[in-house]
Amino acid sequence: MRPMLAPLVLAAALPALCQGPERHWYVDIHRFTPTFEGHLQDFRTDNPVDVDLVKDLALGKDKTKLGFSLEYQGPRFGLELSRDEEDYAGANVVNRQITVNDQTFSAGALVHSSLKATNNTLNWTIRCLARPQFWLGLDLGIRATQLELTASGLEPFSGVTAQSHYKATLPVPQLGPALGFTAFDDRLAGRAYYHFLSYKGATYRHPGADLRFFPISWLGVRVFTDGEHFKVPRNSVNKDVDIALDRTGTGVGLVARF
Amino acid sequence: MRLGPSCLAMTMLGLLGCASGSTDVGGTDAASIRNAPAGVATLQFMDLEAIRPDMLASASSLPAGVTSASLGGGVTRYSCDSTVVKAANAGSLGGYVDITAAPVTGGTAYTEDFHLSVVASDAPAQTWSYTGQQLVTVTGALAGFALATTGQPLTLTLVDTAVPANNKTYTFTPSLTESWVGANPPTSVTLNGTYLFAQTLPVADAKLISCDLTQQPLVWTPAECPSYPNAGTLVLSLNTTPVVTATVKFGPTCGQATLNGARLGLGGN
Repeated sequence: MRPMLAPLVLAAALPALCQGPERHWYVDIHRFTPTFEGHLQDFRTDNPVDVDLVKDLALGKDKTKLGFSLEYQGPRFGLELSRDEEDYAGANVVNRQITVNDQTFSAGALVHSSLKATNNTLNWTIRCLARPQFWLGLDLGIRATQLELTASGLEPFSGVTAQSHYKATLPVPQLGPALGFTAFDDRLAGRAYYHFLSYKGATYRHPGADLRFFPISWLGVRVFTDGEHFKVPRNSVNKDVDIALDRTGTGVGLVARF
Repeated sequence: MRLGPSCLAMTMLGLLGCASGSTDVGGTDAASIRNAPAGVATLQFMDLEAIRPDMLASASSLPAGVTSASLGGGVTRYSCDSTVVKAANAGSLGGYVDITAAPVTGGTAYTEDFHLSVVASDAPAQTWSYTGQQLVTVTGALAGFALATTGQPLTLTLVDTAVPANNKTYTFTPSLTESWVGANPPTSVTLNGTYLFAQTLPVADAKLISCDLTQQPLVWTPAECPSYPNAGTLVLSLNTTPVVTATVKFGPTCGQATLNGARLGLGGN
C-alpha cells in the first residue's frame, strides 16, 4: 500500500494551495429512477444465486422512494453523504433453471419477484486544482449497495411452490477524477465524476454528472445522471462467480443551500 | 487506476461475503402433488401397471380384496373390492378388469379390458375412471420371460362433482417391457421403457407428458412390496417450451417415493 499512499497524501495536500469556490452546505431530496439489469452467478457460498434480473425475472421499475443527500462543498474539499432506494418487480415464466439463495426454480415455473436496491454513499472530494469558478479533484469514498431479492415461484408441473429471499451487500470503494464549475454568480453549479476500479478483468465503472440551478440563492433544483457498471466475468477473480450489473438512470431533486 | 490485488479482490467479492437469505417451500403436501400433472402421470400409471395380467395369472393367491371369476371364452374377470383395495393415490379402487388370454407363438397374449374407478381419499367428490384396453404379450419361458405392453391408449377420466372445472380426461399409452427374475411367483420384476400421458380435455389445457423409465427401470420385489416399485426412477417431461421435467424416485422402502425431492405418498393395498 505504500506506493498508493504517496500520491494520495500529495493529492490531499494540494487543496492548501487552492483558491476555490465559497463554502456551502447542501441538503436535498431527490427522486432517482434507474434501470437495473444484468445477472448474478455465485456458487461459492451457502447462498448460491444464478439469475438474470431481466431475462429470467423480467424485473422492471416499480417504486422509487425519495432519496436525500447532505453535502459540504468548500474551496479545498467536498463531503457528500447520500441515500436512495428503488424497488423493482417482475413476473415471468422462466425458460431455464434459476437459483435464488439455493432454491432452484425449474424451467417453466412462474416466478414473481421483487428487488429492493438501497444505495448509501459517503464521498470525499479533494480539490486538487481549484479556481473561483472551476475545480478539478479526486473522489475518495465508499458506496454500499444493498440488494434484497425475493422470488416466489410455482412449478405447475409438480405443484411445488417456493419463496426465496436473497440479501447481499456490495461495498465498493469510490476512486476517480471529478470536476465542477459554478456560473452566473453561483446560480448554476455542476459536477461530473468517473469512478473506476479494475482487477484481473473485473471492472467497476461509476460515471455521473450533476447540474444545479438556484433561482433563489438558498433554494434550487437539481438534475443528475448516474450509472454503475459492475462486471466480474467468470474466471476473472473466481471460477464460480460471474456478475454483470448495470444500473443507470436520471434523477431530479430540490436543493437547499446554506 | 489500479488498486492492490487484495483490496480489489475484497471489493469485487464483497457481494459474496455479505450474502444471506432464507427459503420457504410449499405445495409439497400430498394433495398438491397428487393433483399436479406430474403426480397424476405417476399415480395413475401406478394403478394401471400394478395390475399385471401375467402376475395375476401366475399368482398362487390373489391380493387382498381381489377376486377372480371365469366368464368363459378364455376371459377371467378380476374384481376389486373398493373397501379393501387402495389406489396409488390412496383412494379406494373398485371395479374390474377382464383379462383374455390367447396363445401366440412362443407365449401368451393378454387383453386387459379396464373398468376401474378410484374415489379420492381426501376429495370424495373426485372419481377417476379407467377404461379401455391394454395388450400384453408374454413370450419366452415363465422364469425370465419378457413382456411387451403396447396397445390402444387407455382413457382416464377425472370427474369432480363438487368442482366441475377440475374435470379432466387423459390418455395413457405405454411402450414398456418387463422382465422377471425367479420362478413363479417372481422374486423381482423390472419394468423398462416409456409411456405417454396426454391430457386431452379440457382442450385449452391440453398437455403431453412423456415418461421415461430407461434411466433407472422400476423394480418390484413382490414378496416385500407387491403393489409398488421399491426402486427406480421416472423422468417426466412436459411438452412445453421450454421443456419442463420432473423426477420421481421410488424407494428406499415400499410405498415411498419423491417428486423433485418432495415426498409422494403412495396408498397401500
